[in-house]
Amino acid sequence: MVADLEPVYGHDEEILLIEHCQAGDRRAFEDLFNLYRDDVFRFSYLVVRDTNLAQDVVQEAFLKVFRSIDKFQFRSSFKSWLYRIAVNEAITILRRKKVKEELEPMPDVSRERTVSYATRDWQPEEAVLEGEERRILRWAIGQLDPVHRSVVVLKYFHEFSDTEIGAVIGCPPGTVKSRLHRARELLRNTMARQMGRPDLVALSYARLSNNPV
Amino acid sequence: MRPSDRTIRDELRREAARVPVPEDMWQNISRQLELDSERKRRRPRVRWLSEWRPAVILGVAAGFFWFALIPSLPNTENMPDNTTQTAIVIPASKTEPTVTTARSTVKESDLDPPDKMSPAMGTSTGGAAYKTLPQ
Repeated sequence: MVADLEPVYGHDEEILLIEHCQAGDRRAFEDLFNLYRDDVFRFSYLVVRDTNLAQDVVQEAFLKVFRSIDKFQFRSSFKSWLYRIAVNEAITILRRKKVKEELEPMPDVSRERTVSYATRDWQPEEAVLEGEERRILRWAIGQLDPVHRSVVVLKYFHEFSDTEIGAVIGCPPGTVKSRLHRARELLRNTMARQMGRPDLVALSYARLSNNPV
Repeated sequence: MRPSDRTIRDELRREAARVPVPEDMWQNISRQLELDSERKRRRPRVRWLSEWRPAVILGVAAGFFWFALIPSLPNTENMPDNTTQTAIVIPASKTEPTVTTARSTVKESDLDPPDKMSPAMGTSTGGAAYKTLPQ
């Protein structure tokens, strides 16, 4: 049902490294950590949207991996196993610490736009609008629930295929597809509302009700 | 306003690039792994203690049963086989028999049939000499 992710390392080297870890080699642990550290940290940061929490996610995920690596039997790829643990850890940490999803209140866009035109008149209008759109998009991604945000990050940041995302979050590719669709609709909905386009919000709701996930 | 895939991808990359990866994560993980192996080394002693846990629980339960439950059970040794726990007490100095309870004394004429009587009856109050009759 699910496809495995390609290892960062060469396949054989990664297997060797994992076998050393299973034998309790601390140096191999460190090498394995260094191999995936940056990717897992960036993924965690984009999901939890806080540096300290992202650090907690990475540490907890790797600790879980190292504590249970002797149970890893190479049935799935190490990378998908690691990301699955990281996704679960991120969701758990967000729930446990009850982090408010709206990290910063969205400033009044219309006022900002006026200020932008007044103070940054050297910029072309399109560039200003694009900058605003990006800012609102970033905020809208933060408004997604952790599961949808994880899917979006895996798809667009890590560029995993639907099958690979399915291997991470434990569902078939069809479910991944529908979750991505819903996430995009939610983004569109939030952005339209923020930019004062109720017609797009209504259209978005109509689409969502036709494609319940 | 539907964000394109490219816009989403660019924005996520831009956001991720803003945050440097912390350098001290391995130190924290390493410290924690060290504590884990320390705990593992201590585990045999704990396991030896845990073997005794059922025996300790059993002992405490037996003690509790003996000291708390046994005294509260009815004293069956002194009871005749074929009796209820109701007793009619006749004060020797009076002609009319009375039935006594812990709370009040009632006349025989007020008594319910024996099967409806309270099992707590039988304690007498007042009177010089008493005789307990089995029913």
